Amino acid sequence: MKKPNKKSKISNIKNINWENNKNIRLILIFVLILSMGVLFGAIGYNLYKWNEYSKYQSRIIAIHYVNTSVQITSFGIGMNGDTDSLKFGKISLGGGGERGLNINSTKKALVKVTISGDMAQFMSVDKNDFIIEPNTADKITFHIDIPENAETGNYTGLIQVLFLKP
Amino acid sequence: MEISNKTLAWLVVAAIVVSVFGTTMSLWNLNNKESFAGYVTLTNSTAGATVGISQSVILRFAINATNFGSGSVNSGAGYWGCNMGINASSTTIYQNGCTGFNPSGNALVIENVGTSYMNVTLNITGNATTFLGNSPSDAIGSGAFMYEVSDNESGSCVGTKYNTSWTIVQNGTATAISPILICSNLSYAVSSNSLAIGLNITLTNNATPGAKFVVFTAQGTNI
Repeated sequence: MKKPNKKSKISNIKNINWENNKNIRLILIFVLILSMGVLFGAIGYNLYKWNEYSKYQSRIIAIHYVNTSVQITSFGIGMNGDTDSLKFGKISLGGGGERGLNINSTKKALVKVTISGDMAQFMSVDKNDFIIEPNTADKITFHIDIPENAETGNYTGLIQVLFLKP
Repeated sequence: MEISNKTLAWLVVAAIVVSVFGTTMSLWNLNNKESFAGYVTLTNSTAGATVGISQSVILRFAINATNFGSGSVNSGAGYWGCNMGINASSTTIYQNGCTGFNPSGNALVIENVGTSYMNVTLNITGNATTFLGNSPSDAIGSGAFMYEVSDNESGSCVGTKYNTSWTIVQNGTATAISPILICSNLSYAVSSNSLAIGLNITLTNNATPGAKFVVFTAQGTNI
């Protein structure tokens, strides 16, 4: 039997009756349903997330952002008590330190703390996701530990303190 | 009315375009909302709650900043103890009773790098007994762990400076020694803002062998 060449394959495709072919019709319907399914799925997921986001936003009492910084050196320490941001000053390799934020709220609130930036890798917080009672003061202590193998230089970070309706 | 395959094909193309566009926009929108700490926008909203930064900072020295190396009391030569250290002027102390140790480097330095005067306290986690393992019955002057405070730069401590000669780290339990005030007012002027802490230890020949470890913590509070 003679093997069909490329030219004859193309002419075979051209000869298909697109308008009345039931298989093609089924494939098209299937792809159409699939596309609509993907679209409705995405819209549904977005609505679900939007609802979650709106609920979360409505719980926010206050958000505070505090900058933080440290200079890592090879020797000695340098204390910085400035209150315009949470400065740790100078800390030598292998050293560490701590500094606090004083907080209070007029309403009962769930306090969530997050640390971002290149300092986050060295920092931890003594408590998180805790309740503060109305008109009371509390303190959040941030710890910093510098490993022996850290790169010396200046590091910065951003602390977010979020007060939510419990 | 029956839809032809050609119409159906156009519908499929339109559905795919709408689907891809809708899904992309949907994911982009969600991604923007989740980009920072769980759904929170970067706008400061401070009503109802306050956050203030404390005026004190606590910093811990790297323990190996002053490293005496390893060695022992030269008992074979008839010595009962070994006295060594680095004084506040960064001069090495090394007496005949020691063998093998190599005290080197600088005194511990504490700077005020802020923009306020500070009082400075020191916290040391061990005394001669708990840090060095000297026998508790050793009289002061035999086994000892001492420190001294000096201006690292002239005129740094503009208030009262404490323990400016060798001072024995108080005898006590293994728990942290209470903070000791070493300078009531440390300046922040760039050329005169630092203290030096010298260390002096005397090991006795009955000290327990092994690595010795103590932590110095300085606390500065704005005044």
